[in-house]
Amino acid sequence: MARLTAKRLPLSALKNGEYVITEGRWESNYVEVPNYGKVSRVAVYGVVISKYVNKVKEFCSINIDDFTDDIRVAGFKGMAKTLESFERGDTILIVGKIRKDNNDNLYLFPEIARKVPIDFMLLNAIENFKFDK
Amino acid sequence: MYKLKDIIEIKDVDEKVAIIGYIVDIKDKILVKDETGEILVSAYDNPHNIMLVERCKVLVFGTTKITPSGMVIVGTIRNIDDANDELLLEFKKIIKNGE
Repeated sequence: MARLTAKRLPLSALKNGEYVITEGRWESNYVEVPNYGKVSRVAVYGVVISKYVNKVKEFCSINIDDFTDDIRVAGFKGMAKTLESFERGDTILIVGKIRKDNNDNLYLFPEIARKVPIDFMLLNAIENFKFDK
Repeated sequence: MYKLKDIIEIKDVDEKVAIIGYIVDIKDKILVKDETGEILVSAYDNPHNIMLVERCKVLVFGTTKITPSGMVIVGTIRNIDDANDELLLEFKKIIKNGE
């Protein structure tokens, strides 16, 4: 089973996709997104709009907005510390897997999270809108 | 989701908006202006305040509220002086046309 690589797409497109739970043990769940195909892993540039930290459980969750929609990014332990270092207003890049929570909401489980200059987000938004239309 | 708007387009209360403009005045609230108008921004819990000076370019996102001083955006404000001007213009144009 080939690893599904990260795709860069607008969050609005991701939210419109259909989440597919696979049966195979080694096969990743994915979202079937029109025009983008199977998306299991995404690369998203966005602005941090809110942050929740639970130090006891070593958990941190942030919401990012890419001007098409927003999504929650949740991390534990080491990744929680990375997410905690971000502040509201920071522009960040998240590369991570798409998961679904108990309430059927999509969220991202980050593998890479880092601050980027605002130009990265602007360029990404321009590309998203140009290719999505 | 925050919608990028011109200040003149902001009419509703409790609306999530994002604006791009520049700072005119900094007091307990920050006065932000774009080509269409100006609005007060109340930026709480803001780590970027130290980078805010008059006439710097900013990206604001927050929720609109009515206060005795009029319509205010309560949210976060960040300095985007380092953003490329051409990209910023293209970004504003495309996001507005894309809606």
